[in-house]
Amino acid sequence: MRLPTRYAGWMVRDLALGPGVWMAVLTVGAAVLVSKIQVSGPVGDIAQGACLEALNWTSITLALLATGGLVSGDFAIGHQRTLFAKPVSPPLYYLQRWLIGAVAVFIGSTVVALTIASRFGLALLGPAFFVRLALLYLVIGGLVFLMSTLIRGDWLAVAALLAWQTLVGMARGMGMQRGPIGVVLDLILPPRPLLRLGDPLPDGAALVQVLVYGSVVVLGALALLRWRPLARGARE
Amino acid sequence: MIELQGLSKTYRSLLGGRVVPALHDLTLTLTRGEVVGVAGPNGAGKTTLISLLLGYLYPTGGTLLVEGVPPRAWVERHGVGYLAELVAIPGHWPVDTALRRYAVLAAVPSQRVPARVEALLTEFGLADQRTKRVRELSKGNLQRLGLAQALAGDSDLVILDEPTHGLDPVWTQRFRDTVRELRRPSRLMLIASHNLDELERLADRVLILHQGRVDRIVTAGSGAVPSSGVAVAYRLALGAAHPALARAFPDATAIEGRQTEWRIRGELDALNRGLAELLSAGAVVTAFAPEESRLEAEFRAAVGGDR
Repeated sequence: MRLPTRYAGWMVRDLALGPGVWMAVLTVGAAVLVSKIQVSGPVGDIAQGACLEALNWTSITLALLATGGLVSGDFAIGHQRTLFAKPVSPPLYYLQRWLIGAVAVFIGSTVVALTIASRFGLALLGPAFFVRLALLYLVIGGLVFLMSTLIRGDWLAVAALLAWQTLVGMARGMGMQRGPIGVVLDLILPPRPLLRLGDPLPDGAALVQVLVYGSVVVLGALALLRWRPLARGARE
Repeated sequence: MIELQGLSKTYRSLLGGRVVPALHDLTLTLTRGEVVGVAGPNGAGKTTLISLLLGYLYPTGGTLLVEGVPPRAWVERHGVGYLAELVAIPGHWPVDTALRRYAVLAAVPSQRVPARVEALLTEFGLADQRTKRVRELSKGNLQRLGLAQALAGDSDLVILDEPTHGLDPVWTQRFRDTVRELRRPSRLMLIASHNLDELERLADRVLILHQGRVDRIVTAGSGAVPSSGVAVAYRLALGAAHPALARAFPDATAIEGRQTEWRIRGELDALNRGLAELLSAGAVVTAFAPEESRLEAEFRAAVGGDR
């Protein structure tokens, strides 16, 4: 039986020794920072809010690190020509890598969340947290996955998109009106405001929006890997 | 095993402004058990043909089936022993790790992977390079690693693109031995190369591609006869200069520095007639040897001055 799991072991090792190093540095750095924050007195509530915001950004950054170069890394050096002459399905190969990245993001985010929970005495690590984390990875990790099948600077493009989205959000907070272009862009851009890890689970239309967005980007990436040409024709 | 029916491939830019025809109307059948060479000048369509055979590209016309199914489906089920023209393996992988990974990808059963890797390291002279990173390998060693990974599995379809590129004469000879050992009734091997001598030694027949078309298919091997209309160059040596030479071979040109040697060129019938006339006139022929292989002559006839 030729299961993709036969090469899962070295995918884990590659992640651990590659982006996993930066993910570990980020996780430990965030956990140390949280453990140093003052939790009581007049700044306690502000600190708690800041820590939850930091948890969000840490999880997003972990997702960017785990999925950056997922597909584009192989295509950039032409390695896909060697890889996919073997009895290997490109969508399954990269889907497995993407799922291994999800596990790494879960570990990192859980460590940071655990530190925040113990520092502030919060019941943060319930099922809602893990469902939100899964949705966050589906959306952000899925978007990088999709970009990675199309361009080389995948994680950078998504990071720029998120930064721009944040700036627009701040401008709106200061009273900027949302025009028709803004409405369209809100549909295209990742529904990040619905993914804050400390909030209750989204439900109804918000949940559907997140699920549809995440499914579209991941299935889009898989469809591209199924049907896009794996070579440019001329020697690479 | 492989059926091409009117296969065409045209590259188009994203907006359709630039159109580059790469292959045009290829119809042929490749069967198990044979070694097929693919030759052609740069840009003739060799790499495009290989990419289509691997399912990396889709035809823009005609059909291409491997055992009745599209190539991508066949490759994902069975795998192909494939060496790309430019060997691209992540540079940070150690040599033995790379081979282990490719063996796993090639669906070698896990308990047999270590033995398979050892066999490949030995067969391709990489045992003393096993801990080196791929980026530290010389061109020749990288090419050998490329060949080793291509043969990590046991596929019935082997496609090698410029397999002896960068190999020294010793390893070129070993490669030829490897190809001969790989021959089996159930296996089809396709070798694309600019090295016509290589193809003539290894292939049963050679497709000569020119401007995206199969210009001709040459049967290789020592017993094969050049196509009608193909002139082959020979070196003729006589015991002494003879007046019948000018009649037998009016276009003979003396080889510089040699008193009794000439270069002649012609089709097989004409050459035989000339030789008969020369011998009947009493000339003593001391040597008559081809100056180029038949395949080279066919190639030159196919591509003309484009090479």
